[in-house]
Amino acid sequence: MNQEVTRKWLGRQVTRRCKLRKRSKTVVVLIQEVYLRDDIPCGSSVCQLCSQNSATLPAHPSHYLILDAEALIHYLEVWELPQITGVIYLSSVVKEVVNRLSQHNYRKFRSLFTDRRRQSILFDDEHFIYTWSLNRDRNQAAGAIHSGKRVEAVAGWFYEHLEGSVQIVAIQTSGESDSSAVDETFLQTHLSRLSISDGKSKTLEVLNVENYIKGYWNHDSSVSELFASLVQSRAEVTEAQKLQNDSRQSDVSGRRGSKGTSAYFKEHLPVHSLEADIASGSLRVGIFHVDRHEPLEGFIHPSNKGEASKLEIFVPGRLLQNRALPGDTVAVRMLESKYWQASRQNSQRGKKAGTKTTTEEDLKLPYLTDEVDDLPDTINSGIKQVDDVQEKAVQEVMPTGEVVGIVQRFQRDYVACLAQEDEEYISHSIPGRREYLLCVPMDRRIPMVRLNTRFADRLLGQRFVIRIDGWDQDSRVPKGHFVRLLGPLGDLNTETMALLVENGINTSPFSSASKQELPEDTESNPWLIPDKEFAYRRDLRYTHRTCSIDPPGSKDVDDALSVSRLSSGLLEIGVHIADVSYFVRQDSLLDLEARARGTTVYMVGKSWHMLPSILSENLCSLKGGTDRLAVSVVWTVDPENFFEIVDVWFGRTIIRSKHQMFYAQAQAIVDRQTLPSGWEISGGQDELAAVESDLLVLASFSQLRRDLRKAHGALELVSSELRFETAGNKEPISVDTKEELPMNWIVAELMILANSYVAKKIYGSFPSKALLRRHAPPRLDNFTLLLECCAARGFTLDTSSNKALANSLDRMRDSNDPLVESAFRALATRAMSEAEYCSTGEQSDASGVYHYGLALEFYTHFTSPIRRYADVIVHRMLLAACGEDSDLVKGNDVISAKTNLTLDLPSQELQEVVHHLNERHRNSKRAQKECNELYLLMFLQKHAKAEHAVVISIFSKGMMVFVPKYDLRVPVYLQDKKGNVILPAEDDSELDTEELFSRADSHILVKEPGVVKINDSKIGKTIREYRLMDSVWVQLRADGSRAHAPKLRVRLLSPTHPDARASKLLSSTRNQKGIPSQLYTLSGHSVPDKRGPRRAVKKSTVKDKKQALQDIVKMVAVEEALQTKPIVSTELDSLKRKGAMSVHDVAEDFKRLKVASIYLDVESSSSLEMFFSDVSSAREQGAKVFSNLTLTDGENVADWMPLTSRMDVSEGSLQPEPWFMERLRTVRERTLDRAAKMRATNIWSTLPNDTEKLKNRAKKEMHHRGRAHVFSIWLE
Amino acid sequence: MDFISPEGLRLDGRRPFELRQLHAEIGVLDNADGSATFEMGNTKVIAVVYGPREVQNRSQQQLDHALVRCEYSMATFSTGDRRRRGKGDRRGTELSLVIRQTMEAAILTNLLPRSQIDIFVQVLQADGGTRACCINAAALALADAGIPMRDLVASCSAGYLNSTPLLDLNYLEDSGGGPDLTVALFSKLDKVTLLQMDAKVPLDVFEKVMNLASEGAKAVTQFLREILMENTKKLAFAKEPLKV
Repeated sequence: MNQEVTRKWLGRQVTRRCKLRKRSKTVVVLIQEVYLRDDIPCGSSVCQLCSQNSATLPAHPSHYLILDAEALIHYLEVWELPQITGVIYLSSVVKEVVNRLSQHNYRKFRSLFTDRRRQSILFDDEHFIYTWSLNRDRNQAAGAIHSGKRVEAVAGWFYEHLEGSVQIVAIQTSGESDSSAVDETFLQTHLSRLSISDGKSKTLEVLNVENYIKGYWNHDSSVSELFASLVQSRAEVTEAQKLQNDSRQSDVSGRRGSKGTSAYFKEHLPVHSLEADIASGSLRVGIFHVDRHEPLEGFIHPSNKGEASKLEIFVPGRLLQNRALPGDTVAVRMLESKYWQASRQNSQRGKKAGTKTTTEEDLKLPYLTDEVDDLPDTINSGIKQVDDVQEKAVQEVMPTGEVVGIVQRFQRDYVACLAQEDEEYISHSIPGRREYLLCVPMDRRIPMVRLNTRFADRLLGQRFVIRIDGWDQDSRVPKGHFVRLLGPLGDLNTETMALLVENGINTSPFSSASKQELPEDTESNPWLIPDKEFAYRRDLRYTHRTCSIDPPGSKDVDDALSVSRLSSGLLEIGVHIADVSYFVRQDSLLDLEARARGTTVYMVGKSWHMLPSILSENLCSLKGGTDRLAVSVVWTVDPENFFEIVDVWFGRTIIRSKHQMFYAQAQAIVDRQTLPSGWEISGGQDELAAVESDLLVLASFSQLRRDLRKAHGALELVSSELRFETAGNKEPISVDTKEELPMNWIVAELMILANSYVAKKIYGSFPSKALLRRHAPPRLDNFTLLLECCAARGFTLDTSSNKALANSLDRMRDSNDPLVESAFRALATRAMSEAEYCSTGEQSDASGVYHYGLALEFYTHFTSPIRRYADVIVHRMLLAACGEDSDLVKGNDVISAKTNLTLDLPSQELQEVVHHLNERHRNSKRAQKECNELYLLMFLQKHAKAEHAVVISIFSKGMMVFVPKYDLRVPVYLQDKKGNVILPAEDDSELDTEELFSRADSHILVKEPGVVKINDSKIGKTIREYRLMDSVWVQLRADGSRAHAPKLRVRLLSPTHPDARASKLLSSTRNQKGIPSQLYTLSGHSVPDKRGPRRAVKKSTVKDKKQALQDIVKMVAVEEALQTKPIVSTELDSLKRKGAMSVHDVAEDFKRLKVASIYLDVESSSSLEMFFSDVSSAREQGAKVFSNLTLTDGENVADWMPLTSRMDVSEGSLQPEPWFMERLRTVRERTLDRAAKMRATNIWSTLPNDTEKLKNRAKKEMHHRGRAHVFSIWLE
Repeated sequence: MDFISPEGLRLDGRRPFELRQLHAEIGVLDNADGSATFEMGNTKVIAVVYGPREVQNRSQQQLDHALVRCEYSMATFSTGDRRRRGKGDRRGTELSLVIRQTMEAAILTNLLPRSQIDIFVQVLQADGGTRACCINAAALALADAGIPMRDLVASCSAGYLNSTPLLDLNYLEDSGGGPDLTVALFSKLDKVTLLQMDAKVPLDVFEKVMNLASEGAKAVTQFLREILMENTKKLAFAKEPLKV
């Protein structure tokens, strides 16, 4: 250590500079010392002298590139292209650039040289003894020549240092604005001086940017095209500057802004005065947000220090927005309160997402129509104009402000297409001419952009990527430049790509350098597990029967499950996760690539993987029948003691998945249905029985964990996922909600358990830098809408904690209308805040790392490392944590492996990664959602759909409805823009305008709290009225739009509309068969699969049906016998109402609902009698009737269990009740002793002897509670 | 802000574990009993020692050991903006106290009862690390005055920025918001006499920074020893011609 402290620098230089302080207007002397050294490595892998550790420059480059400040600033986008590698950035140049590019995102800029994939370095020329002297030449003016000389000096040094083995290109731009006019002789002298000195030629060049691009990148059109469009947009800027200078000179009075009508916007304040005003608090700073549906209404949440975070500043209209674009960090001045105004969106607040349709015309409105031409540049006019746009309803005003400056521009790629008129114009013009064109961004919030391009003809009818360069004061639209083409408009591939670009998702293929790190796996040379892996991994291939359960057709299998029985009677339940961190070493190129991508993005019909397919679909994927590396979590559980977890083991393993199943298949096995062809599993009947018993163990185990979680307050939230069937051209031909089988949540529950155990483990080992996932409690004001709806239905909603909320939602299950309940649940889901990754090292706020939705103290993502990068980090953390105390991890190999895994990530860097991952996660989720929406709209465009919907809020012009099937919230307007009332459609004919006019005066829309009415003044009657939570029929259609995605059109249907009637019929038949799918999903049970193999199964079990009917009847009878009070289920009640009139039907439904989840209510009684004529006869049979019910059917074992949790929750105790424990014992016995049970015709033979005792206890329980459960009879 | 470049260099070109340039002179003032200037990079401090001499204020006289007094001040020109700095401000009083206590611990005060030792420390140029610099200068001045000491005191500061421990912070790094830790050592006795830090840091980080600072202090001791040796040689040389 002592050695390290001794100096290694060679010289010290002190410079003295004077600086003018703008605020205090004083001159300050700054003394700076610089230590010079010669031990700065060149960073090239060619070099033999310097240390190789930090070599990042490519070993076999065509050339190394050194840029000066001008070139770097003006053509930054070119250097950001991934093709450009081997760049030596000078720290002096970078400093200059950072000072000048104050609006640019520094973090992104820094990645130019910190991202190793770019193979570029930051060379510290200022402290390097051979190059520093030119830096501080006081006689030179600052700027281009200055930086040019540095570039030359460094280029010369590199050239000599590498002994001419690599071509070095130095880029120099002279100070003139015209980049092409570099003094040739000036170049020549340097060139000759430098290159002749070594007697070699062509290894050192000093070029300007244009020549460089021509000389080196002519073959790559993407580079040269981007460069060309940048040159053009730059030329424009200089022209404009010249013009401005001229006009300023000619303007004798020198008044700025005297350009009069030509300036549409107020001038932005200069940077230094902005800073001062922000510091003094007279300006607020914040990120400018615009809602997708109201592009003219901007909002800012100021983030000044000490500011109340609740304040929201409203910035309406383009004039007040003053060239701010969504995402920019802007400075805002508040207007006086008399100018404050109301937001149109605010009137619909709470729903927030109206599909208010904004067309191209709307966007143009404020600045492309002639009438705004003569607007003087004042605030008042801005407001007036906005008033025109806005409706004049009396609404609450909001604090309003105007943008006075832009602190940092948000930079991203925008997808756009040409405006219609321009397109027509171009088709007649000469190709290759420079054109100014208007293009329409796909994002509705972005105004049209002016484009200056030579490839106008190539842009016809295409979608392309543009970037916005800036927005001049005297221009109504921002200007931008073309970056690349995406494809023809309306093509589904193009539209999907567009969504990806809009959400900033990287779609480029993996770089060849990162691919070189991949292991080889070919037919001739298949990849095998290296022998040394066996030394320290636990080999579970022959000891644990492992299988995986995934959606059908999935190739990236992350997880597998296993159950094994120990001789001690204990069970080992294992979750095995693909060992991605073995293949992806920390900080390898592959790792960086995966980190940058963050997650796999699944779009309809295609996915963009985080890892190359050889890993994600082959080597990491836990395929059936092959040996794979895994990281496992193995719990030892005690089946005698309610599956209590006795021990847990984490570590690396080798597994061989025996069966690769899919959900429906596993479900069928558990349900003991005959498996259709293609669904069989290998190994014959014995194997089938073994797998079945394994699955049953997993089912009971996960059910128990789930109950426990629910007792702690876990929420059951819904988010229906849509599934599209697509035709050959990828167009959607049908849409369906994804079905959830019980097997889905059984697997999900095990994953949640594994995640939470891993989270606990890594938090214990690395309390200051564990990567966890937290879910903050929702903000209370998110519930306003939900509370209103609840009030309308007479429910109370307790939002004080997650448990209270879960209870309230469960109470709503009792409501008769599943549609309403699903609406409630969906609204609750939307009120939730977003779960996010966090590093425990962060200064966490009060909410800490608690996961609100799952009700877990610690949670993380561990189980999907193939598709999420966070899981890869968590794997590394877990293995590092295990390295400390695991006996298995020993031996030299392991230690080296361990050092590889150590958490070098300092907590600060981890925080950055976490931040990045959250962003990637959000973006990919948004892209997937938008993709689903796109397909849904494409589908609706072809096929209009009539759907059932629920009214969830009411606003002045109409109401918001919720369509549960598509999880959509859409506004329904009862009044058009002219104020005419729109009546619900009676048939499909378009509205006749004349008719509309004729009745316009007689119909009036009346809004009252919680209800909206259409009155006919002529008759003086209310013709229609809609209340909160009313169910209505709406017709969903979509209209095509050229520039944007299709738009949703919603029309209210009158109940007599043929479509509505047809749908009603359809749904009532559905109801006859069963409760709508939503309810099944909610209660965790399956909708019986209507298609394919299941149907066959059904036919074969007609006998079962009859049996079921009998069972139901008997059961109820017994219940009565026990209770002396008659019992009925509310579900039964509702079934009756829905027209399931025959006993048989009811029984069917009962059976499918798995009886157990039905709450029997003591209060409601009478209606049962009419269903069951033979109640009394059943009553006589007494307690022994249940021999065949449910227990011949293995599935029910698990399904009986949800009851318990409800019981517990209502009692508020977390400890299972004694009777519950007893019951579990029986469950355990039967799951374990499956074979014996199958033989038994009467299951009671396997029950413990003290049945009588149990029965009594159950009776007692029921006596104590007002409510009873069916299962207690079952104990008979 | 980046205090460390990707290459691992600090803003002024040092590596994290490197000290700034050290420079010291002994006997800069003739009318004092002992004096020295000490520079760490751009930080320059002059220390002047009077004594042991008669106690000025009789009431303060100690019968069994010497009275040590210390006065710290900053020259008006020591920082970029010219500002009069009084002696009595909080920071000044605190620093005087710190220096006095450190020096009191070093001086064998019991050998000099009923006497007084005055240490005046003035910062001529401030660029971070003044505390450490003052202690080093005072130690040299005391040695120049020939006052008996247990061991040579040397001090150095260290900080923690961008997740890296940094030795000997300059002003820019000092104002970077990270912790700043000053250590003074008796390097032969291997004992710490001063440890100051006003920030919260995790224990493992603290340990790293503390180790680094004490390594720095040891390097400073080495330097002080060399300077003193040189000075002694010079004095010996000055004496010798007279003898001959």
